[in-house]
Amino acid sequence: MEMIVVLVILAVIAFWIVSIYNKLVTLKNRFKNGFAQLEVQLKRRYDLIPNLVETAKGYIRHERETLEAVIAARNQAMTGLQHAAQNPGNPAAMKELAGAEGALGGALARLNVVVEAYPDLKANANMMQLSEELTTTENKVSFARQAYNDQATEYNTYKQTFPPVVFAGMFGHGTDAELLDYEDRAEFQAPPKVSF
Amino acid sequence: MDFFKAQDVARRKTWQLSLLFVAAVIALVVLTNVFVAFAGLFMSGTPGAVSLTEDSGALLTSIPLATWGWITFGVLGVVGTASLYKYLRLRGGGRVVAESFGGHLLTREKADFNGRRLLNVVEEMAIASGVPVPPVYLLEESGINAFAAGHTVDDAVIGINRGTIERLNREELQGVVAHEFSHILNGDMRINLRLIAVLHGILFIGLLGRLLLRSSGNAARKNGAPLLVLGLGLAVIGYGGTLFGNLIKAAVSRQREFLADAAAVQFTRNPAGIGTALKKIGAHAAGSSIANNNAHEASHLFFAAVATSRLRFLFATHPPLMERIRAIDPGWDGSYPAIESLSATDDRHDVQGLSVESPKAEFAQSSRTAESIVASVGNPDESSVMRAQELMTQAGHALTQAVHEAFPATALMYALLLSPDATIRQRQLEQIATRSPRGVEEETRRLHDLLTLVDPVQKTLLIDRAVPALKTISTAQYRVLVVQIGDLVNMDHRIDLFEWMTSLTLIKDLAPHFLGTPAARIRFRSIGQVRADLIVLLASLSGIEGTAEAGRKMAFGEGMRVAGLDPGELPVKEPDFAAINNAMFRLRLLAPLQKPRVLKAAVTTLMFKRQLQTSEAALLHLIASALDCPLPPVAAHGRS
Repeated sequence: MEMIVVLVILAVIAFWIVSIYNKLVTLKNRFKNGFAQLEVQLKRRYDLIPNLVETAKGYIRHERETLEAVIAARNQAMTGLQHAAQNPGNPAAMKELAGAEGALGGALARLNVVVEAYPDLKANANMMQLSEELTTTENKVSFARQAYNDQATEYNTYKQTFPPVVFAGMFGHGTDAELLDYEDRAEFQAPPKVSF
Repeated sequence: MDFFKAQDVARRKTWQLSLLFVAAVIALVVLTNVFVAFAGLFMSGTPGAVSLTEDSGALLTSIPLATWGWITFGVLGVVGTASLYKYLRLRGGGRVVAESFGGHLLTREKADFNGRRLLNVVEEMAIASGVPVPPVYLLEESGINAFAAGHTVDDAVIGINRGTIERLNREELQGVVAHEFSHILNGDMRINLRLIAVLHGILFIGLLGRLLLRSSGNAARKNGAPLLVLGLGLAVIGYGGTLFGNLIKAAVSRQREFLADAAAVQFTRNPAGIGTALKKIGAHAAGSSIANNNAHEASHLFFAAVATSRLRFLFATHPPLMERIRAIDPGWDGSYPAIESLSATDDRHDVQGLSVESPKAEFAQSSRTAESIVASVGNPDESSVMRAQELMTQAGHALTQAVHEAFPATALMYALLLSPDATIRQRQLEQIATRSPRGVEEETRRLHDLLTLVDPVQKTLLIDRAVPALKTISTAQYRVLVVQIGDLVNMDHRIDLFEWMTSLTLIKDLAPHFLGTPAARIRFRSIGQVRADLIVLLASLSGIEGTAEAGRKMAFGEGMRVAGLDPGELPVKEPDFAAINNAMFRLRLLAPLQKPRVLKAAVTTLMFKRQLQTSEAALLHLIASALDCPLPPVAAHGRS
């Protein structure tokens, strides 16, 4: 009859392990979902930038390379986003995205400086509306990024606690989710609106 | 159907369910024992020792009592663990169920035309019923089906197949969504979740048997025989369990599907909508089938059968399609319509995320009595749906956009709590700026300006509408939100009831999602037990309009009288908010059949000798929601 006791104990252990597995899956889905929200906002931002550059083109005579740099950085970030979206949390993809985002932030900041020299452009209605939209989107991006980072951290933390750490690798949850970290630079903090 | 009675019945149904479960487990225990007796006989190698023809009593008594005990312990242990596991898991609420079926959250930003239309229909129906808008999960399945899952309105989710939104038009979709809302409102969901947990325990034995059978195949060369026998036995017993489980499921579920169909007709006043939806299931090649295996375990949750069963009359979780259609459309000739994928042409408004155009109907709600308001709880009708659509349109484009995205929705909640006093407001905004990510303060300012243009009823609806977006923020962000709200409410040291109820409602709507669903038990069976709490509530309600002392007293007394209680004296001091907090908490734990009296008393006090003002209608909505009584939007007289 020891067999029955063993059977019951086995059942309890089995359910315990299954619950760890399920929790891992749930947390992973949650941060993936968080990334999906972030993706929407980033895409919106990338869609605004070509319009912005298009408007600026009509005014900016010199320093054309600044505009080109913005577009190049934007395209780079777009590719980074595509890679990251295919596999949210993947370290390589997330680092690529973070790097591209940082570069884009820098390029936009330089554009701001250039725009300062063109008062007509700053006063352009289209430009004003675009930069306003860009500001709002930047805020949404940073909010969604915070949510994603929180959720990814929650997943990582759970994964590293004692019982789950034994099984995580076995269940295909070996690697930690990479946070989307890039410096919120000063220029970045005060998005285009202020300088336009 | 009477909402309060339905809630009461649903709770008693849970008892019935437990009894059936106990019966099923006893049957399993006996079956297992009998099987072990046979197996023991077979293995001892003396088949002739006890002749089967002699009597089966001798067979059973041949097992020592201790063995009986152990086997019983084993079965109980395994079934109990399995059920407990599922029960604990389901505490995560409706979203856990939806995710286990392979559903993914449908958000407005990612949704295509069909998805946005669905979100609009769900939002309309939620406002019409007076509940927070449930998140919607999309299942990538081609069959036409849907479900609702959750414990309460606060953790409920709606799940819908891709096939449903691609093949049904707006009216049909509305019928299906109304059917699911009926499940949300009348307490079916709660029973359904319990049922999943219970069934899981019973089904688990069969699963274990199949597992052993498989592993015995691998170990066949050595001593696979005992394992084989054990596995075979458990599998057979397991099928017995499945049989029993399905019987329970069918018994609980079938009748309620008819009721939900009828409710859908009542909500929309449009039998053609749900009728055609059902006919399309009949005409559709994939029918209402679901491929996901987890969904089969929970087939009783769905709008229509997830698979066809051979012994339909016994085990079907849903009545036959034909019968359901005939119940709605008696003149049906039995032919199914041809269906094709719909193109995105019929509702241009849905494309923009706006509701349909405001209907110009007159609402026959103008002279409502306390009686009729309480009767409408959990019972939206066509006029509620139209009023919901009207209210949604009135909110305007900017606010509509704000409630649908996490970032502005968070700021909107802060904006709702900003003080009318400019100095205090300034301090509140500064405080938001220090604690929140950048942009939140500015967004709060912007939304506050927009809010000055809408009336209090609109404001309460904005909370309900923002719920799905707010549920997408992270737990850490939720914690900041809660702390921030507490600070905003306390900052002016003078809290008005509306502001306070707003924060209470918001936290009530969101907490189950982030912190898990607490088991809300009834603690008070008679209204007498909460007399003191009712006094607190009515005393504060009688004071809101700044009426003269005499008027206050009379309104208070009348409210208490309607509740069937001795009014006593109106407290001299107006209750503080700790007292109201405590009173609302306790009133919520009152038995469903007693709640109408509380609500009627509140309405009576508010409406004493005058018409309901907009601000009072809004307050009423918040109180009803805090008491778990979904109240369709009440028409009010003028602004105040």
